[in-house]
Amino acid sequence: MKPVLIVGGGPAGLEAARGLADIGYNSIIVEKNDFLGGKPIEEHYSVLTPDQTDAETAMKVKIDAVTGNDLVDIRTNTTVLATDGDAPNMMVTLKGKVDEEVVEVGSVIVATGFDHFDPGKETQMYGYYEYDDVITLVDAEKMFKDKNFVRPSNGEKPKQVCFIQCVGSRDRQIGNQWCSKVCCGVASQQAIEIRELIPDCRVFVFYIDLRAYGFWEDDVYWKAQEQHKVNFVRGIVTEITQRGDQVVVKGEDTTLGRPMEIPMDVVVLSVGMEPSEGTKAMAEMFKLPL
Amino acid sequence: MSQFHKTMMRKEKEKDQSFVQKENAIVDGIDISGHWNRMYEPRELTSYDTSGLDALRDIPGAESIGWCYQCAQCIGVCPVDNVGDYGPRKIFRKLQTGLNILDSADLWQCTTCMNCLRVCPKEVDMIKIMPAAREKAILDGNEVPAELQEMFQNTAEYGNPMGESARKRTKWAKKLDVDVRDLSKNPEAVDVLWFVGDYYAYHGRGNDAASAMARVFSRLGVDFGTLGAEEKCDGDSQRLAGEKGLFEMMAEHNIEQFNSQEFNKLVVSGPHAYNAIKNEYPKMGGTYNVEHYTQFLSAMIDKLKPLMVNSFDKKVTFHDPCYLGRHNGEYDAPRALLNAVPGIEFGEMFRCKEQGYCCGGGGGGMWLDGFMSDNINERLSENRVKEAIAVGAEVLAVCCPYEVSRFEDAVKSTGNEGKLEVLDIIEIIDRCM
Repeated sequence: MKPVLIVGGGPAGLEAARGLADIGYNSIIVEKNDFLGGKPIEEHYSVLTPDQTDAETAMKVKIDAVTGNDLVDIRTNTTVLATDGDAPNMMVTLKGKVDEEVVEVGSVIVATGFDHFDPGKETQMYGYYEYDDVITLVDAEKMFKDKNFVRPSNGEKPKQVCFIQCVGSRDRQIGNQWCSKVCCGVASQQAIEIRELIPDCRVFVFYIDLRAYGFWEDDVYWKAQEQHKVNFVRGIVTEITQRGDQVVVKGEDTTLGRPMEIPMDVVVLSVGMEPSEGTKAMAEMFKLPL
Repeated sequence: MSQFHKTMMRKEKEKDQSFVQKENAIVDGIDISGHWNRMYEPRELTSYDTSGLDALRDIPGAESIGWCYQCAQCIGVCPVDNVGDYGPRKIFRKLQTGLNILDSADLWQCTTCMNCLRVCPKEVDMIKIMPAAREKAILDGNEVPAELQEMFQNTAEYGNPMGESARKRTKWAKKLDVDVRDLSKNPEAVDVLWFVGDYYAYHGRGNDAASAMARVFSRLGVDFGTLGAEEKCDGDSQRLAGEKGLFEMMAEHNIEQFNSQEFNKLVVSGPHAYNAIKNEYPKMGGTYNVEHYTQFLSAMIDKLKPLMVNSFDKKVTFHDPCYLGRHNGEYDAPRALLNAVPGIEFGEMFRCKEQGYCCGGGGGGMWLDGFMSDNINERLSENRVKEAIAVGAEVLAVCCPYEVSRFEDAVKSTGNEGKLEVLDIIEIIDRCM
């Protein structure tokens, strides 16, 4: 039987290859980077929810499950150039570091993933490129990985930190009308990490709706509030200004019905997901809806 | 307005920079009332000072205050918010924005009616939080509303909230032609030890109910006796109002008395005593077979029915006591008794059974009416009385000793004198015999 082509060597692609191998199917993983593991490795994720497993360790388990497996052909530094024909008879052109090669495959799994929303994009939301102490979930991950969460402006430990939810998601003006689904859980998890690293730091999460489904509800969101004393406040921030050496978040505390202007040492923007460049290219190539 | 209230209100005002709007504003002798008189003060929140929240959740028993996720279901059923501006969800937000509840008027508003806990998806337990917070405030030497403080002192000194002497506890029984055995004077084995309670023993309208109870017991041939002058307050409201030590004092005394008597069953007049003896005394080593009188009598209903020969031709509604209903799950016994009354036309109020409204007397509220008048626009009992009238009742039946006086006051203060009679269920039964 012809192999299955898996485009993307991140968590989804690796899991697909392992699953196929388990039921006796051959597969080819194509990964544009020179390493496997996708975003968690590329963006230096710290830990994964809900068990706070180290991201690198978790990804290594997935990588080890396919590496050296006779049924899985791993091609790093490789991209997809062209495709011809339809399942179950497809001729796909791959480009490695030097050579091009046409492989004959029965079907294709596109697992090209997402990009984190760039809060500097289009509307320059929340002064991300203006204020050092306004960072994204992704920036925060790198600091958690080093177990050293500080104010980028001065390297000191923050005393008051907030998260702003739905940055780059659920926004008609930006063009991203979807809920990115994971940011509520990830922000709650990061809030826990801040409280663990800096016990005297107050942490706030400003949200529109707390969308913590599955284990994110009681294993992460409730845990953050009940055990780690994270403060969740309904109403997201409208804008950020600077006052002295702090950034001030301005918005409405909706359950009190009062405007708020609160100084923060660090503001973490809970950036959502967008289709990656690879996803867009593959969607076009394989004529898939986005 | 007492100095205490003024201080409280000033403190609240300093903390809460919200706008002030007066119905009637008089400035320099000129009435400037009208829609344009609103005086706005800065409304922005400029900090989230959560130290009050952190301090409260650190008190053993009060941890769950930190679990609130603002679903607001509690506000929909909080009897105090119904007539004021107070509720668990609001407390939580205030705590996140600088409130120190231990020196706030908000500390004393909860009646521990348990309606919030009934609907709370996060099990934020105000029934544990409030007593714990109040106990801490009292231990810290914070000011306690004067009327409540007086009740504490009376209880400590005399063993009852009224400050009456123990000697007078049995006075009501002396006028009766029914023998109420005082087991403290003549110990003998009885089937039923009747815990009479303070309001039945000392309050005029309570005496009526106590006398009715004695007559009904007697007609039913119940072999009963009381602790006489040796009975003391059950202590439950003191506990819920933050005086745990006082509760323990009362409980220890009563347990000692119970243990010195021989009986099969404890029957109590009031839901608060029922709650204390059923749920709290066992923690102190006193476990008894206890029943509220409506439970005791409803179990004997076949014997009771033929004795009720006079018709009670009135429209009657019933107020569920929080501590019999929500706290202890008993909704049927009082209704079984009322439905057995000949001639009665029984109808429910809109808020009944699990959803029942609170009379305002629980959790120390019985001794906070003056204090609460600065915080609510009408008494809970007034709100309830209006509901009874709205459903067309001529009689508001109750089975908690706090309630007869509370509701009778409310009937008067709402201008409904003569329109609604407040009767203990035992009085209705007695009238039919």
